[in-house]
Amino acid sequence: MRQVLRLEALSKRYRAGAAPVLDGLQLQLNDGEFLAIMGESGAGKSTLLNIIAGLERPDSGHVLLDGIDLRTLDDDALTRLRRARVGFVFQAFHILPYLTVLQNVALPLDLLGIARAEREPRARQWLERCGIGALWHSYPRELSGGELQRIAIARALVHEPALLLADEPTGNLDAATAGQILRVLREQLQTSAASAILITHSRAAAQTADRIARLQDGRLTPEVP
Amino acid sequence: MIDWRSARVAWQVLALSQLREQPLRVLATVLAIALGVALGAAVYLINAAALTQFDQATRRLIGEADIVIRGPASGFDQSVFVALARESAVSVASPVLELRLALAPANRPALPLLALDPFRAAALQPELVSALGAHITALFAHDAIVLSRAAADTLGLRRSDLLSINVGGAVKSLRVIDILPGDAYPEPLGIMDIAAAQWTLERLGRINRVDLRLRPGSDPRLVRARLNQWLPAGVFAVTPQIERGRASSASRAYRVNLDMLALVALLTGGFLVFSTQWLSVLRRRVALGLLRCLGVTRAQLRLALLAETLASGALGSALGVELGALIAMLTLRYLGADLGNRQFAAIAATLAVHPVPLLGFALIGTAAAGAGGALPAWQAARRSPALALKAGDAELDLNRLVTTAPGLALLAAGALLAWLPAIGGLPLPGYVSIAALLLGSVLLVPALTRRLIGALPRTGQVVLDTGFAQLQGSLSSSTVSLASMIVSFSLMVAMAIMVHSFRDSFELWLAKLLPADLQLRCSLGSDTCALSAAEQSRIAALAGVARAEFRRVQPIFLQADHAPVTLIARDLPAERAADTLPLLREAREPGAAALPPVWISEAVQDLYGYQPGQSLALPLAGRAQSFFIAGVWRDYVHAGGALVIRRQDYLAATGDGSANEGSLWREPHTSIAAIEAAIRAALAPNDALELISSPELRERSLLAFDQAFLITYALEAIAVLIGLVGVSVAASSTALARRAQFGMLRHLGMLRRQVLWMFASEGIALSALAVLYGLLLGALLSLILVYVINRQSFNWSIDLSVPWLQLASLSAALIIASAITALWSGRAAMSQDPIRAVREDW
Repeated sequence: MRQVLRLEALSKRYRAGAAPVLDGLQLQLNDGEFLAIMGESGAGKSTLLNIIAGLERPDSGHVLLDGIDLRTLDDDALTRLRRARVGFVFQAFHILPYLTVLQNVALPLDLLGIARAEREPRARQWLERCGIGALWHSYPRELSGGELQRIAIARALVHEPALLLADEPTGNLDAATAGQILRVLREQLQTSAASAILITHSRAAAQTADRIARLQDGRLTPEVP
Repeated sequence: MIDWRSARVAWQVLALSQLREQPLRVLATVLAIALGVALGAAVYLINAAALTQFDQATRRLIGEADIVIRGPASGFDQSVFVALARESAVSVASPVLELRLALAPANRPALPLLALDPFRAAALQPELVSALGAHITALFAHDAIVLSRAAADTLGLRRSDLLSINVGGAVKSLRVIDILPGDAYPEPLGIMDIAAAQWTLERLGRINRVDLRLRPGSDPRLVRARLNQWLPAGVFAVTPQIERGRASSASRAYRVNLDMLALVALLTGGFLVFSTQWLSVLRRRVALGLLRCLGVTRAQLRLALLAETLASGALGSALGVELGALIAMLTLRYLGADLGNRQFAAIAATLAVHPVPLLGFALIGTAAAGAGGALPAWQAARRSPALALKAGDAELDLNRLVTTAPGLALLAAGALLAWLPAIGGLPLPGYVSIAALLLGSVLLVPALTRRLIGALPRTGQVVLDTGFAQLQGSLSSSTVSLASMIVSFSLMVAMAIMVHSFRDSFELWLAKLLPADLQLRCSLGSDTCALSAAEQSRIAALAGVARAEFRRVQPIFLQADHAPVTLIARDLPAERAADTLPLLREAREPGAAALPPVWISEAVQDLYGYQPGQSLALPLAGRAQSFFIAGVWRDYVHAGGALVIRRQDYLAATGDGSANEGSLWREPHTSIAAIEAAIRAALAPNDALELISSPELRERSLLAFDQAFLITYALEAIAVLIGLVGVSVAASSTALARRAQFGMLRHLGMLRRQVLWMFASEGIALSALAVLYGLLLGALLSLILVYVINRQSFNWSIDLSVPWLQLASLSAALIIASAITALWSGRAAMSQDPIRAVREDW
């Protein structure tokens, strides 16, 4: 099976002399796999996600995304790789308020140079899949939190990335809406065949994943789903 | 290699956000650049029109001469012309009498007159002579004059009309035999035959100019050098380039100063772009972080943000160029081309708009905007997207700018540069000094902000303490707001001190030089009108006249390549010169008993290098007469320099007892009007005198002064406007960015008005700091303006005088404006309910 992500002996500390946030962390993620990572606040979950996405550099260790060692890439190359292979879903949604829903979802395709004639139908297709196809012409300020997060999921998957990174995607939602969002996320991951890492505090959210790991003392230990 | 497509996508996303959410701020930056470009373009176009006019006029006058023999207005014997014509190297010699005719009545400016030999002049001034056409022989009549179109229009005369002139106290009439076409000569001018002029103007045997064309193969430099060896004292052989360059070189410092002022306006606009873009990048940090996450590289983001400011700059520049052309056109039509510099007056200057210079201004404006946007773009691209997406982290990193070394180095460099002399007659080191001091002070603002804002006290009042804590926690945006206010306020302060100092010094100078009740003069600037000794005695003996003093004023040449110096012969006891003249320095040792004294103006000291105690040879009556330099006096009128000698010494050297200016003191209980009437009755039918009371002359002079500083006042106004716009932009941007925070404070129970006053207190604290810093910096810059720029540009000194009331008013206005804009912005930001405010992502 194709390995989408492999982390080898990853270490990171924020200040010299302080305890490492990540300490020799190991991880493998195969094609289509959905991993949930749990941990207490300040355990380093977001840091781990940022390193995987190439937004931060580890102090030591390797990150191989689709077989490419991120340490060999400069910032521009990391950015281009992220553009093509990674999708994001944030806790705070981060939908651009001055673009329509369709424009927001199509933005990754636009950055990849895909022509308008192709990107808008693709974006609309993903909006339909996420159950908000009718809102394609709306502006974000008119929408609820759940709708905004569905838009974020569509945007994260529209360009068919190899890996989706979701950082507390249900953190700002009520329980019912959170459940809906997680179902949408699960369904769309299966449709797109992307692998995914979900950061969460919530056991219920984590149980939507194929496997769960806990980040503690800088390392990942598997947990029973 | 840059992926242009992704950069374009990022630019479109960002530009859309700016236009949708911040249209007024975009407009403010566009207008700031437009104002600066407009001022620069207008000054350039007006000066270019005037210079072109002068150049065209001088070329017509000088024509195709290889060498011009130039003497004083009083002239030299025409035997010099005969000797010149016999020179082996000379092919054509054309004698000229070039005077300024006093008109009657005397309330009109003198008319420039060119009296020439039409047949000889035809070879050298063909365009001018050919314009005379069929009337060339009619010109030989003793009273015939041809007027240029500009002269005829100004005087309201037509062909066959009579023109009354004043010659040595008598009124004579000239007959207008023709009016030249408009394109023959652009300025007012009268043309006479030289013999007719010598007869009518009582200058028999005298000329004051000879134009020479040399034989092929002659070297003009060698010929000039040979001629200058035997020409009479005060008569020089000069090149046409020197003649043509007199107007432009006399006004060069003035024009360069205006250009610098316009550049300052543009840079102030560029700084507004910087502060606006900095705050805008702060406000959009999450969007920028998101774009980086989605795959926009640093270079693409930098490019997109730069493109934003360049687009505003290009738009502002395009608008500014149009506005500048419009201002220039209106100014030329209604105010004239001199921009307050009276020596640069060009009546018929027309606007000529060439695309290349205007494109240059547009590029400068765009570049200024781009320079303003460069640092924010660079900082935004450097920022970690992960941090940008984190809630609560709203500060761009200014830590690298907290170091004081570059700022202190620039201040030191600025201080050193201020001591350097002018280069080519221009205070270039002074300009660079000001730039270094300004930039150095701005670079110190981050460190200053950290210290001063960090030292803001805890007051125990929750509203104030929360506001001050906010300032302490947002040093980056506070620094930018502070720097923006400091730049515009300090420039405002510097110019206000400089103009006030100059006006004060000018007013005191006028009071010193105009102690009498009444001033009289023979048609200002004329060469043909004078009061005879008998007329002077008659005036002095009039009832009601307590005392009379008369002066003979005329231009003379000290050196060939300099403009003429004004010689003033006046009644002046040498030991009491300080009572009469605004003396600055006197010779330490008394001069040799045999040498009469002369007092030189600061311009003569600077332009010729003379010092008190030295001797100076003055060309009087064709001979070099030695004088002892007794002192240096302050003079604000004669840009080419002025010399004062005693009338008795002038009479002894020249035998000329006439006068063309005078001052009268009245008896108590005698009105000025009564004295004026008595003078006119005593001199009738001579109506050549202009009579004006000293208070009225002082008032007119101060009005002319204020007009000369119109551009400076305009720049002050622009600096004020840009400063206030900067304050407003900063306040509203900050308020918008803190909507969620305001909503949270309202949730905690802070009243709406308490939130508003918290925000206002931040604005007041920042503006108070800006005022203090701006006053100090402005005072420092004003010292450079007063003691370096002004002195080196115009060769006169002014005494520093601080307009305390004006500065206090400006300071209060800035602080009040900050409070008002903060309150207004805060109200706008809190216009939505607190629940929605805390829900928002942005």
